[in-house]
Amino acid sequence: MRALVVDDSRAMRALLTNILRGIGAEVVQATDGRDALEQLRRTDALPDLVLIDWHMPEMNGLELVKAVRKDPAWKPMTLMMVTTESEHENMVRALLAGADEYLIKPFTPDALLEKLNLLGVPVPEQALAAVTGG
Amino acid sequence: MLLSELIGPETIEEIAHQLWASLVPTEGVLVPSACALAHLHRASGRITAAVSISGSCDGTVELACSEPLGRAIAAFMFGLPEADLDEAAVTDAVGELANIVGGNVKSLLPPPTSLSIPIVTTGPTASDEGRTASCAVGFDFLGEPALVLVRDASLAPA
Repeated sequence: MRALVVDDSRAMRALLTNILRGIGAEVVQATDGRDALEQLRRTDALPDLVLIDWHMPEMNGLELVKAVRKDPAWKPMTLMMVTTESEHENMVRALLAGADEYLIKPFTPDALLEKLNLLGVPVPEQALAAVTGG
Repeated sequence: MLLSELIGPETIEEIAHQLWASLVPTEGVLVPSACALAHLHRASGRITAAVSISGSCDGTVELACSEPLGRAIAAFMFGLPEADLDEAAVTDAVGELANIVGGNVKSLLPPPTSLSIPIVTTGPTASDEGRTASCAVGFDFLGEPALVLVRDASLAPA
């Protein structure tokens, strides 16, 4: 699996990257929405999953989701908001704009892996067993 | 409307405990805020990250911690040994924690509200910070202090 982590915090990008690499994902990073769009336009290998913060400089996460969903070629990508923005109205806005899932910070690695599993993102059985206690 | 009318210590405790459980390698124990503040004043280094809330309520949410605790948090988030972290990595990690606390506070306020990006400072800050805060909650992490402060805009130090 390939993943793109979009967050203006270096620390949060690193945390998410480490979790995803722990389940075998290839991960690239972007510092905001504009950086993410530029990377998506340049790449020959689109990510399967994009984790997106909401509040970022240049282009925020909601604008990025809208931009991605405008391009049919990018439709297969799974978009997950990972954000402190927990107002119900804004969660609905993001989902209506095309986000597939929504995870509120702070989150545990387990919570992220559970969300990924629900989205059908391949999570190794060993990692999932650690989450579910199975 | 004042921030302190809507956000009390219990709310901050709940948000902070979720934060510690997710992003801090050791468990934070609730301590009197005055103890955490005194401990921070004695600490050899400290990091303070603040986010401003504006809209229906105006104020700031601050997270202050000792420099060793900041480094431990950054090491956990980056997945690196503390020795491999530069100062920017540590301030970024503490800033993100303040951003998360502020974002969770914002979600409890009536719209419209907006949140600033975190501003991180190192070293001592205003000496009367505990007195002017409308809400202060202290924590101890195996001897390393952290303090979460909520200030109404009218009480923010000049």
